[in-house]
Amino acid sequence: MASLNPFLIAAIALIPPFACAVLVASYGPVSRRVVAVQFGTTMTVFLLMLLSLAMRQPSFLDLPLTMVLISYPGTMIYTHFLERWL
Amino acid sequence: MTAALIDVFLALGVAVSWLGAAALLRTNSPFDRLHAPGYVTVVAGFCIAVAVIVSDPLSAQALKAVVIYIALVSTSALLTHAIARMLYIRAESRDAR
Repeated sequence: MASLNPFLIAAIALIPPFACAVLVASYGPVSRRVVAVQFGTTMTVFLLMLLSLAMRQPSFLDLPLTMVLISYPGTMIYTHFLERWL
Repeated sequence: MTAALIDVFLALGVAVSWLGAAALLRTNSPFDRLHAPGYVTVVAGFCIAVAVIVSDPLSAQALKAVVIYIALVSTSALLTHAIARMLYIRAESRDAR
């Protein structure tokens, strides 16, 4: 269990904005959801960064880096799909 | 001094994220709403990356934080453009019907 440090406090403080993104992404028109998904992805990257620093495990920083690199083609394909066929 | 700087940058990053979340909830137009993730990515990402660099400069985690920030900003710009283009095309096709 990590002791309470500024990175852990910041990670906990980022949960409500992440919850907002999940809330907005869960209902409404597609145009609203896609933007919320992008916002949620950014929040997830920040959360993973701060948690890895809070746990003092620098190797865990590979996880947000992978998330950034994977979310790019994912969102790109999704928007392309929405643009053409939905 | 270093601890205070870390606290200030982390607090700024969190405040910007909260502001972005409020913008996501409050704005009505999809194009207006698109500003929220872009703003949060650039400003909050910068604050968090600086906090990491200040906490442990010239280390592997500082380098990784910079790489994550650069990757996040560059992909966010492209994704924001792609999403705006998709929204525009969908709005145009709806008008054409």
